[in-house]
Amino acid sequence: MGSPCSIKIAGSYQHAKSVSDACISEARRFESVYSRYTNDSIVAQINTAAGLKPVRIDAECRAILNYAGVCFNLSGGLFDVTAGVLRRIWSRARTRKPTEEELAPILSLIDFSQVEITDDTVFLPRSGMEIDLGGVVKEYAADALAQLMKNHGVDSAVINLGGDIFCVGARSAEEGWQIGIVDPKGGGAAAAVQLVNSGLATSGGYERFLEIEGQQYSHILDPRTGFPVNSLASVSVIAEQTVVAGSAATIALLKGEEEGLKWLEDFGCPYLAIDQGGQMVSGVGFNSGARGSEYVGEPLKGPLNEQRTGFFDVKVSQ
Amino acid sequence: MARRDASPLAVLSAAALALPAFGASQPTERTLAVSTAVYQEDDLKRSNLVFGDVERYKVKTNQFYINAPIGRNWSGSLSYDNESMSGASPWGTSESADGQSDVIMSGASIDDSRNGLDASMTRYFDQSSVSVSLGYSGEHDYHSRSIGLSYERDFFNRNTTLGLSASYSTDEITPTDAALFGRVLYGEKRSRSFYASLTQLMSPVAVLNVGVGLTSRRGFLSDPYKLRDIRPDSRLEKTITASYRHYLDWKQTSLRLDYRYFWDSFDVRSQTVSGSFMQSLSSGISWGPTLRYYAQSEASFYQSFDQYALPVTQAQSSDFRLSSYGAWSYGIKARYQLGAVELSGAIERYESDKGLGLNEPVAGHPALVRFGVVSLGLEFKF
Repeated sequence: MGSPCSIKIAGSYQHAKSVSDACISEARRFESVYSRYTNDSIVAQINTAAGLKPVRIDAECRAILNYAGVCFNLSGGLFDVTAGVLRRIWSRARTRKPTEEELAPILSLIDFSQVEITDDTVFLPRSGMEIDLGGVVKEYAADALAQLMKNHGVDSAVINLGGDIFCVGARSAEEGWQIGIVDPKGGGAAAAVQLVNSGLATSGGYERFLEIEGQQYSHILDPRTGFPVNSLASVSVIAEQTVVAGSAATIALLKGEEEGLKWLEDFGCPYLAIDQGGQMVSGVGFNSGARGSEYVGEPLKGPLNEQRTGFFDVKVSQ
Repeated sequence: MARRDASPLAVLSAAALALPAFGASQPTERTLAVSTAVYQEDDLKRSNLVFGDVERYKVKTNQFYINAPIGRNWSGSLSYDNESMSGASPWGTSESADGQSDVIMSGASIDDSRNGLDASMTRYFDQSSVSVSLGYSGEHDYHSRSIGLSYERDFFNRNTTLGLSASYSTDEITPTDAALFGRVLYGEKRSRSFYASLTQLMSPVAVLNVGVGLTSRRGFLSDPYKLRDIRPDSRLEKTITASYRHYLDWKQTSLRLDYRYFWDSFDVRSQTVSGSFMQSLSSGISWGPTLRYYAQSEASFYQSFDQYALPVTQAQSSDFRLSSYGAWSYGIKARYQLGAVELSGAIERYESDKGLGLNEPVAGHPALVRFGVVSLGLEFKF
């Protein structure tokens, strides 16, 4: 999945092993079906057929595209899975800021509303258009693996797919699963939360950024202008589903700092936002457990060190 | 008044719920199961016996089953079962002094065994699966071979599943002591079955399934061990089934109701209604009762006692399974889950009687069976 993934399951070794094997094979399925890095994935097929022909898709792929469409509409076009083509401009090889003339042909390829989706096909109408479902599938996979675990009778587990986390049940009768939220400035965790039957997703511009002419640019790009957004450094959201948490966090980043914070407050799920200066803003019961019985908040107890966050046992995939 | 839009959280949550729970319906783990069962029929009343043994059938069954994923898109399963039968079975009926029918049973206890082997392979596609199965069952006087093909396809985000299946089997019988008792030396039967079903998820906790089936049997359909049993050489059977499952979250209980209507060219019509529930307790134990009612009308050629005056070209049978009767069965089942191992047990009692049927029987049968079944199973996932 392009980033380290791990799961931790409570229970007998044998049962945990059989469930983790099932999870690994399901995680690999997600990766092979939706990765834009491999040639035979459905995403690669859709992108290769852009401007040429519709590609047959299954119910799962259609549901993911429908979900992406809901995010597109809710965010006023900011959350756009066709925006990945901007990477052609904002590549690591770039040494100077792109001009509007350079951006114009790329921007013409970005518009999810142009994607033609039927019950069993998808068609990108313009040659050169691309979709990247990575911003939905990783979070959705965390929810799907959680469901797989529940179906196997697991009542206590943590799934961490590159920072998109779902906690099944609690760690014990007394405490939830303790999860550290990474400090965008480095040096361990910025905060710790306890989760019970909840998803946590973090979006941020800190992990990968570009440096052009001495200035750092986040990888959060506004699909309407093609330029990086002057956004929060990191947004973490807790929700009943990791995929919902992830979309809410990404939309908050895309909206820029002020609008993003307003969006998070209105959205109504516990959140922690960290601005470029390292200032933390949290709300909707973050750390006080206000929303829902399933999220157990806890006051900050200072930075969490790396050892305490590194409790995941079983490596799923890299 | 301004329209109030649904909140972004509600909209996203609803869209997320439309995502399939998870994609692979293919089994992701191997299952190994063994089970054993004892089936024991009640003795026949001595007052209804002309001659023979009152001690009826006892069957011990042992089963072995393995199912495993093979590669990314395939799974295979293999099952083997062995049955050993002993006891006497009804040979025929005769008219008693009061005009009722009495039973002639086989004399010495029959001892026989049956071995069955079934293998199937399933290929999974994105929204569908195709299975091929082969089966063999053999006794010293009976051999059956079958082949089946089935197809399943999901629609509407897996809320609807269509199932289609077809099977073909050939059965050969070479009765023992055929020359001694004047039985037929060899008989052959060919059966073709078709079945279509539709399963619909009504809500997250309710599933409805309806199905129709058609089976055509041709060839030797009589019972060669009966003294006078001549049946038509073709039989067309039709069924309509409906099944409803409901999960009651607050009680951790699943409820199941089934109905089946059957009619055939022998003029037998039957109805089956069954219900069961399974409740999960926190200790890993689930348990629940089962209850089933069955009623059928008699075959057009059913005779309450064997008619030797009728020509051998005319169909007749006094087999109690073709008489008009009704039956109740009731039981209890329990499961215990311990990690990857599941222990299960069930006990069931079945009682059939002419008076339990829906129709006033033209003639009843004293050999209508009553039996008990006790079964134990062990399943292991790895």
